[in-house]
Amino acid sequence: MHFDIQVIIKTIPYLTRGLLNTLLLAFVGIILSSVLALVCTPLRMSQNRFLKIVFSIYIDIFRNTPIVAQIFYLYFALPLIGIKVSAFGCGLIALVLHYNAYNIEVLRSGMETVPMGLHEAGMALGFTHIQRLRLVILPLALRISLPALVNNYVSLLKNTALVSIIGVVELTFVAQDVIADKFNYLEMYATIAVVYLVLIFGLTWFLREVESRYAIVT
Amino acid sequence: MVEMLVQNLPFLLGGAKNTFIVSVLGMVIALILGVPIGLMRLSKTPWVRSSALFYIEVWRGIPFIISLLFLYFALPEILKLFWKVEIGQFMAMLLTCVLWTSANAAEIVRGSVQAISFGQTEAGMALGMTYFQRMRLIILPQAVRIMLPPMIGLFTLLLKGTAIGFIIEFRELIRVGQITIERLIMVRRETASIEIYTIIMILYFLMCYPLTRLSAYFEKKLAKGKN
Repeated sequence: MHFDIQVIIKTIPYLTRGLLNTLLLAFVGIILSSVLALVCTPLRMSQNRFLKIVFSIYIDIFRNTPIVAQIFYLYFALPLIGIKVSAFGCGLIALVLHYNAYNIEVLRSGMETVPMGLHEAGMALGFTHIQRLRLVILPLALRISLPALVNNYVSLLKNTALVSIIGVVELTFVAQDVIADKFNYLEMYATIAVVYLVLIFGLTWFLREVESRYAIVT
Repeated sequence: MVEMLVQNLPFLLGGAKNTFIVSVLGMVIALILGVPIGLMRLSKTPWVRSSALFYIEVWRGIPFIISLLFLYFALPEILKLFWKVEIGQFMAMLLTCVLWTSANAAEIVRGSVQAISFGQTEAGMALGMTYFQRMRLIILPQAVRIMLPPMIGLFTLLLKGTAIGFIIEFRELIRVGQITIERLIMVRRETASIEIYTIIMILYFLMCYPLTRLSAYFEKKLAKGKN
């Protein structure tokens, strides 16, 4: 067994390109799935029967099937209904839809923890339903559910590795590409394992700092 | 078209069986490993606590796909120095599942043991019980009730996580589906990607949805018993 550092150093430009794609996918995925969850959670909890059924089906499907199957399915199905996106876009859409389902559930339980008194206070101040949600309930619900959301965000960063199966040039894909050429399994997989560990610890540390400032523990 | 799908269904179900077998086996071994590691994480001895923490952070932090690729491709190169060994696909899959699931199970065990009030431990100490007696007779029976819903959730995640096994040619549901699609293209000239992937999604849904409902049911029953 030989461990060749030179090979790793020579592939650093390519690895950097993959790393940038991974980070882009993770951050845009986190932001988009959170924003989408903030919009969808009140819809999920509305009294409208149609909305309740649609969201129940959506959440049940996306929580009970593997993300790998969802990525493949969207990759084949989206062009058929006319949405032509690149592999990166398709991977991003799959990640956002998958984690949106989890975030909706988390945010929903956060919203249910908000005391009824705040709803009544909002009504007493003459807020409309949307104003109540936007100014009183959702900020509080977001801060209450922050720890669980942080878990989902870290999980999203880890699952960006999976979009390499449809050809997105991210870290795992770069490693497999270099290995297809040079067969240096040990060097490449060890390198990206270390990179992923650093990314995960960095993100976890940063999000725990945010959590310690903003999270409300009930 | 329907008879084409029906013809291939036994093959697909064989893949589902492989998924299920590796998940169940992985979960059982992971529980056996996870409980001691979770308890080690709570130990007062620094080196015990640190090594448990290292194990948990590494095998939870590395993405499942990376550890799978590493254990299947890179580990044999290291092991070849000492033993002549090849790691087969099922063994690599099982090893990755066990490592990942035991790390997560250790976290769940840690959380549920910490949720039990210290008074129980104090009562055990007052009765003169050793650590193992306290754990076996007082703490763990109560902790099992608390950790049941998250453990079912972990098993569901494991079932879905084995899906990535197709990348090392492990014959689980997705790989079997891809083989079916390739066979259909070669033999009958029809591209049935969407149909096969729909069946795969339905099969996964049928495997996981009852578990999700079971976990929610246990969570409700547990909440009832508390107050």
